[in-house]
Amino acid sequence: MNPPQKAPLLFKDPVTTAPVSLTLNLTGPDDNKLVYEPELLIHGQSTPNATVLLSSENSDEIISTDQVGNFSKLLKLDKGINTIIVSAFDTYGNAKTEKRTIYYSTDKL
Amino acid sequence: MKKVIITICLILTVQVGVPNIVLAENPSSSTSSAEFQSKLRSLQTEIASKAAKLKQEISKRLEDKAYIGKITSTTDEIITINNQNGEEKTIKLNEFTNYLDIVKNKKLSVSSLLNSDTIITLGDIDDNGVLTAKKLIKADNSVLNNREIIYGTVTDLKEKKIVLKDSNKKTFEIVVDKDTTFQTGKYDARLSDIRVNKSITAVVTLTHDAVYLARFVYIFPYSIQIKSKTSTQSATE
Repeated sequence: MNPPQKAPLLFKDPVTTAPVSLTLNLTGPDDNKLVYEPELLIHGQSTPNATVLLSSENSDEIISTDQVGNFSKLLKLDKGINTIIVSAFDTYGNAKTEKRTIYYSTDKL
Repeated sequence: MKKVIITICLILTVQVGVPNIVLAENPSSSTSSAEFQSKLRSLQTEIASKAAKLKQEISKRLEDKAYIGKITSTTDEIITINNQNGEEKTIKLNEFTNYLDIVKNKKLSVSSLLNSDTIITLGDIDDNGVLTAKKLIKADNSVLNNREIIYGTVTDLKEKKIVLKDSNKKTFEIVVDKDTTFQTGKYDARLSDIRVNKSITAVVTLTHDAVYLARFVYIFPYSIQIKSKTSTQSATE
């Protein structure tokens, strides 16, 4: 008598989805920019619902990206050199960082 | 910039080529010819407008630039610097360049500039990234940024010191003082809210004593997960 055959194993999709790689793309402002206004819009893209740190000469702020990964924030500038650092973080210990050097002048060239 | 010029040339070539193709397909009928001519004129206008807009956008990106860094070489007309990202930048001087020494608050002579001096140059750049300086400012070395972002897991807490390890297993010691601000989620926090194995990120500057002093510390509501190297599948019989 043949032994009873086992039903074939059925594999279903993994319960957890694959982690999305952390990305950061700072779309504005351009680096090495000379500006004449005291406020500057920082904008870019990262992974959806990521935590982003915006660090300027006089402030550090934590924001979240939206459901498609976009973020934007108006930053106040100091007169002179402003180094703006933007970092995005994931839960695996990864961070992506971009920097921009902006010079704010009250006198037009 | 070269890609843009090629694109504009291609657009203008289409502008010239389309009339010949259209007339070849519709050799007769003066009415349809007039219509085509009219459509072509509006197409030409649209293309010229877009090309002008493109040129304006490109010009905007080349204007009003600032190169800041330490001098690596100087001649009468050309200065090269290393900027804060370690990139070499070239600056061209001319008879219209204004010079200022903000350290001594007086006019500057180019011949007095030395290697390792920190300068701020403002002007427009060309296709090769060379900045023609309208203004050159000699500044103190302290104006250069030494702010960094550190992210990792807390491994130890001492009185005013946080020890953390990042994802590359590098250890950092961060010192806090009375001016350090703390946050968790959307709320203010304190040093006492930090626990071992919690994830934090800190905005730090390296002090003269080679110590990382934190200006801001953010306490994440999670601990860093270590990525597993093998994936598992679930199975049902």
